[in-house]
Amino acid sequence: MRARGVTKTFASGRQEVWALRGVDLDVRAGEFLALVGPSGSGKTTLLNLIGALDVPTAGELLVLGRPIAALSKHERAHLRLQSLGFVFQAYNLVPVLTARENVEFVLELQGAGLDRRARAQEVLAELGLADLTDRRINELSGGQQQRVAVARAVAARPAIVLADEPTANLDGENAETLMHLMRDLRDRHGMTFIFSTHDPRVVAHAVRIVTLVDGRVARDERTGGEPPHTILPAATVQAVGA
Amino acid sequence: MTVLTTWRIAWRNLWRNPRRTTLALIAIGLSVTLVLIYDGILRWETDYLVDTITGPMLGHVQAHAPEWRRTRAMDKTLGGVSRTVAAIGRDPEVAGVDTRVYAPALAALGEEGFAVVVVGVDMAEATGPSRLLPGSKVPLGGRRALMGRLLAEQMGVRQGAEIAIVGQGVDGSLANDLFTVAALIDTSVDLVNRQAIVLPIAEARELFAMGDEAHELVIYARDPARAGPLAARLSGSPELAGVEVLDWKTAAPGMNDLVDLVSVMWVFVLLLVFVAAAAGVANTALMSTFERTHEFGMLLALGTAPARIVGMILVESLALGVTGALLGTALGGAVVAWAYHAGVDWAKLTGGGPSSLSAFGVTFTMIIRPRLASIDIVRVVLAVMATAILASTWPALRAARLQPARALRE
Repeated sequence: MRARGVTKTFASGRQEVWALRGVDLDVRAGEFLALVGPSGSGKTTLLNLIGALDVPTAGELLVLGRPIAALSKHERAHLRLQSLGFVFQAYNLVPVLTARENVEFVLELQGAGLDRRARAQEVLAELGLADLTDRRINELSGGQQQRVAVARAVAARPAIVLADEPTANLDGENAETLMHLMRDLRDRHGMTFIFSTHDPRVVAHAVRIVTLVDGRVARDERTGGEPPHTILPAATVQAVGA
Repeated sequence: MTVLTTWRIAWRNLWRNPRRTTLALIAIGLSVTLVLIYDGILRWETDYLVDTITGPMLGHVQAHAPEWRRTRAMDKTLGGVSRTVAAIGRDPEVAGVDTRVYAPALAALGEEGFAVVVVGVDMAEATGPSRLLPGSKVPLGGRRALMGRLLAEQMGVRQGAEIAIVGQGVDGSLANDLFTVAALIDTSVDLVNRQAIVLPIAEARELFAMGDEAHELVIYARDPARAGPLAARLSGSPELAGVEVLDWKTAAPGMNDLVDLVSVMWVFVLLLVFVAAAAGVANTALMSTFERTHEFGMLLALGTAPARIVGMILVESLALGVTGALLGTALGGAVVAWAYHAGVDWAKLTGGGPSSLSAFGVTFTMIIRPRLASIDIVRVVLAVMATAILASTWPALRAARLQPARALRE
């Protein structure tokens, strides 16, 4: 992902609100990057732009080599579907579907074949949800729901996974487990993770930390080498947050 | 996304708010029930009107000598009738042919005389179901006649009385003879009840010095709806060359208008379905999509094509409409089936109204036996489906046009 002078403004009545003021940023494949900064600093706006949910007002933004501002609505939707995964703060699962159906739904949208059920089962098992695949969303805890959301985001092995405050509604233990799982997925499958957060425990897992202040990149730092990480055994994953 | 998944999501979404969905289903179901009952009555009325108009008197197709309908002159007859009737009877679309003679005459009981019309009929045809004398077992022949009850009351004639009939034969000769009134008849045809003396065709021909002749051939079609094409085909046949051949709609345009009027009422029925179903579906679709703005934003964010969002919402409304329509069909069908078997007496329903009604010279019963054809049900279900789609199009388009990032903030 490459951003040069990316600016985003919103109209608020007659006033123009500047959400991003010329962001320059490069993200390489396989990074595990945390966007941090105070509320209103532009974290979610930047995630939305990288996720092709919105287009920059000015500047150049290339995601997987595609210029976001030049893409049509349909092309952006296609890019999101085929190459990007999303994890939202409020889980945002389809409430009338089971955990497995939620994962299958996205695979089905992508045109996956009849093996989509097996693939959904597999990724849910990878996230420690093998026994909960047929549960409706309202029968799952917050931590479990967020893991289903991660499963949905990574099921099709997207190039980039974007997570907006993924641990905001989770307790410490579940937040820790989720970050472990996301690191696991990145280590196993080489996906790029970009997540916004306020949570220092989450930041501790990041390999790169980009701080936004007032819509600008105030700091861009890499932790000294990869933080220590051990891939959790499935039994541990299932035990936590059940 | 497969159709199955779309329907599964739609069905489950409907029951996210069971109370609202139940109310919508009740509204749609009841409107469909009422429509089917009304439709059943209209269909019965249309069929009954056509049967009553065509069965006893007009037939589906008529053949006469040119000018007979205008002049009613005795000598305007069709000749070679036996051969013609046999030829017509061979047409696969023809169910039967009644040969008729109509002759004005005077009937006298003692010294008092009355103007009557002597109607000669083919008894084998005329006593069939829904015909002029349905199921009549009164033996005729041997100078025995049937007399319209109203005419008999006017003349003071009773069953078994002997009356004299005097008229003019087709050759200008005097026609007169004595007949015994074998029975008094009540038919659905006013002319017969008030003015007619009915004889077997052979005796009528003998009385009026007719050979193998008739004034009218009344032809019954196997499918009454095909009366027009049948008349057109018969009029081109060599046996009916130079003969006036008319389908009943042409022969009696006033009665046809009556039937058409009933058919026009269907437009109002469809309007009723449209309004009731639209209200039920539109309300549910609107509420449901406004409540789920965030969810649609999420679906769009995941890359769901706007067309699929439209499809999901339309299918949801369709599922609601079809379910309501099926419930209404079950209830409406049951009510119509019961009413068909039991018969609903309009006179009792209206607290003592008339048990029959006369119009256009025909007497109609007021015992209602509603009936439905499968096309009636298909039509109503399709109307509900079309309404469901129309009513949810705007909410669906609105959801599809959402900006995902903005919708996710709501």
